[in-house]
Amino acid sequence: MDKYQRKLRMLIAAGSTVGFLGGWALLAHAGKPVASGTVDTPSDTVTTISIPSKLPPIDFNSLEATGNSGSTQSFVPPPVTFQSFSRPRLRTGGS
Amino acid sequence: MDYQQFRAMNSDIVLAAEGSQDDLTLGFKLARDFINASEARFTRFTDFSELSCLNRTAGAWFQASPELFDVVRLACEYAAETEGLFDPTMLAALESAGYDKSMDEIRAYGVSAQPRSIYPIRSAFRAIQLDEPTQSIHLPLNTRIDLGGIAKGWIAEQAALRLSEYAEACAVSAGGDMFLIGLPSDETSWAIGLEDPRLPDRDLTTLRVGPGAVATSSITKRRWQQGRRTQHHIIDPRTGLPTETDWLSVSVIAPHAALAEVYAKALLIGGSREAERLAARRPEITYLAVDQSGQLWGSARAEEVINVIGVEYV
Repeated sequence: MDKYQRKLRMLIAAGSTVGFLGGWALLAHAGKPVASGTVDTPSDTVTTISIPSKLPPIDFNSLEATGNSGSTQSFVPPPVTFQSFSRPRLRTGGS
Repeated sequence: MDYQQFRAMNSDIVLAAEGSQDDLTLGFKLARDFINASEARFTRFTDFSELSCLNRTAGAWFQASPELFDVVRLACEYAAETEGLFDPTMLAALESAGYDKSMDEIRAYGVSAQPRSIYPIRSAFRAIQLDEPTQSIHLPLNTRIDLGGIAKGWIAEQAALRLSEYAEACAVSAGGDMFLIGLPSDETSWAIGLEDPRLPDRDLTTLRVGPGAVATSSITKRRWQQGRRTQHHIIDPRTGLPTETDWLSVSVIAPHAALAEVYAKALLIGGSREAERLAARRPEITYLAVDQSGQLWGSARAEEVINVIGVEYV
């Protein structure tokens, strides 16, 4: 279930990015706003819309292979500290 | 001081020695080999030990090794000296109390609820015959012996003597029964913790002792549940049952480990009532007893060896 959700999220993210870039390019080439009172007549000019370059395909296998699911992290273990104990003590008490 | 620790004879063994590293490596190895070989010889928990063979031969003469002969001879002499308060022929009584397998096994599996021994419980050390020239031993029919404590002390002393050939000073402790040779450098005595029999992780005091032996008998260490009864391994030969005494442990400082072992046990069984009379037989020993409130009792010289109060192990 997690795997499916992750793929879905990636698709939505990719789609959003493409949509955003496409919209940005469209607006960038749109005509300038006119002053109030003027009538905006349909332009005869043809505006060239730059189409954003195609996004590289998403490799879901490589995403899974990293194992970067969010809950498991790898740590560098801290150095082990050795305590020094006093020498063995001779004791008597019955065995 | 270098140390080596390992487990043998159902006890923690500590070897301690001062000297050159190469010599000590060899000395430790020889001492350890000797202890392991001696355990195999003196244990009653295997069928093939020399002691088990001797017990099976009861009623006939048995030619013993010099080691077994020496320990049986010492056991018989000390049994007579203590008027039977120390008695090596109490094996049937020990088994009836449930001590018919090693302490490690008892701790792991417990004992059977019903006492069982096919042998009669009776003191028979006076009927043991020894033939010195042939190193032969004759146990009376239906008599078996246990050399537990005295053999452990003897082994510690013999191991220490072997280790001392490679060390300037050394100690061998077998479950707290030990033999000390020489003195640690820059010291005038050995420091020995005296375990509190009520709280084994705590020392009541530190004993300052010179070369020689230290041994302790206690009714709080080797204990087990047999049915509804709590049993221990110190048998009173007068009753054939685990002893009822007003002391929890007795430690003895003596010139030899077997002597220290025997008197620690005899004094524990005899308790405060018998102590003075018993100790008078051996002016060379010093004893120190601990009662149920943790109070120390002992011979006049015991005060000289008590040093520091309050060592705790956590």
